Amino acid sequence: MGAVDTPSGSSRGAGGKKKKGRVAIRIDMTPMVDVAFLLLIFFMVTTVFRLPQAMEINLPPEAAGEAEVNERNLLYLRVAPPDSLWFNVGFDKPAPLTWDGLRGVLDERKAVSGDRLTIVAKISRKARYATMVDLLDEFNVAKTTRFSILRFDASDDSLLGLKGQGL
Amino acid sequence: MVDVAFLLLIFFMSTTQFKPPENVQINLPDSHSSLKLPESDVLIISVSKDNRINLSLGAPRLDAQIGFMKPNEEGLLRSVDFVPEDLGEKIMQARLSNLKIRLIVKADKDAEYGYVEDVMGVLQKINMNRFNMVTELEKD
Repeated sequence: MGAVDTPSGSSRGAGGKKKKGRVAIRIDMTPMVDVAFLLLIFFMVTTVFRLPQAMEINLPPEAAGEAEVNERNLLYLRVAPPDSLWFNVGFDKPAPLTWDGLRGVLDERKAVSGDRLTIVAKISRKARYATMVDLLDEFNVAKTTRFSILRFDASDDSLLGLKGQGL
Repeated sequence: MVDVAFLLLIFFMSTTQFKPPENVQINLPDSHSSLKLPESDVLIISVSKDNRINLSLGAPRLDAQIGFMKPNEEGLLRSVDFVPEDLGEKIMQARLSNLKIRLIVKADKDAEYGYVEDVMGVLQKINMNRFNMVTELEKD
């Protein structure tokens, strides 16, 4: 394969005297090229181009004020363990919802309430963390900026008929 | 061809960043967020799949200094598990060592939400209300 030849004595110095006894050197580059390719493949395989993304959260200060909200503009989303989703508007009875259907509900409530839409998310302590990220992500995608995350308590548990499994 | 190979080799060598060995494997959740994660001046609060809470400043040397990592019986550095009650004090301590510090919450997608809720409660209590949650880009 790859080799470097030094010109042999015969081709050089056409006008001059021929020097005899000079040895042509051959450098075999094959091992070096092999090593280079090996390293190349190694670094190509180990390089990570995709850096993890981040989602920014701003928590409200602890002593946040209260705001009055019309119950028809209030959308409750509850997550029961491990990742089932329930929704209701105002004081309606919670209904199960699929994660794929969440975007539709958000869009629908946004169409009804506009900017006054307020979402209350209640996530059970035993639910998967991914459900919270999914919820917040959907809020971001739907550009609903007013939402709060409240503690999933005994009243939510009984409302969903979980018999204490969500606490 | 050899020239090109070497060029690529040098490119990959210079761009590769070796991941520091993690002692806890974390599977990240997906999101559509495209914000880049800050790389320096970070305090990473990680919650693993089995709900253990660890802290890290991103470099084992710093972690060992501040007590977020301790050598085990074989002399290898291992992350120390924290309970939510101690977390506030440790985070303040890390903040005093570096005022520019940014908080990153890195939780496994299968961790229990309750532990993340505890962490957020602690952050709220010590008035550090802004943090980043690490996610992976969702392919939609």
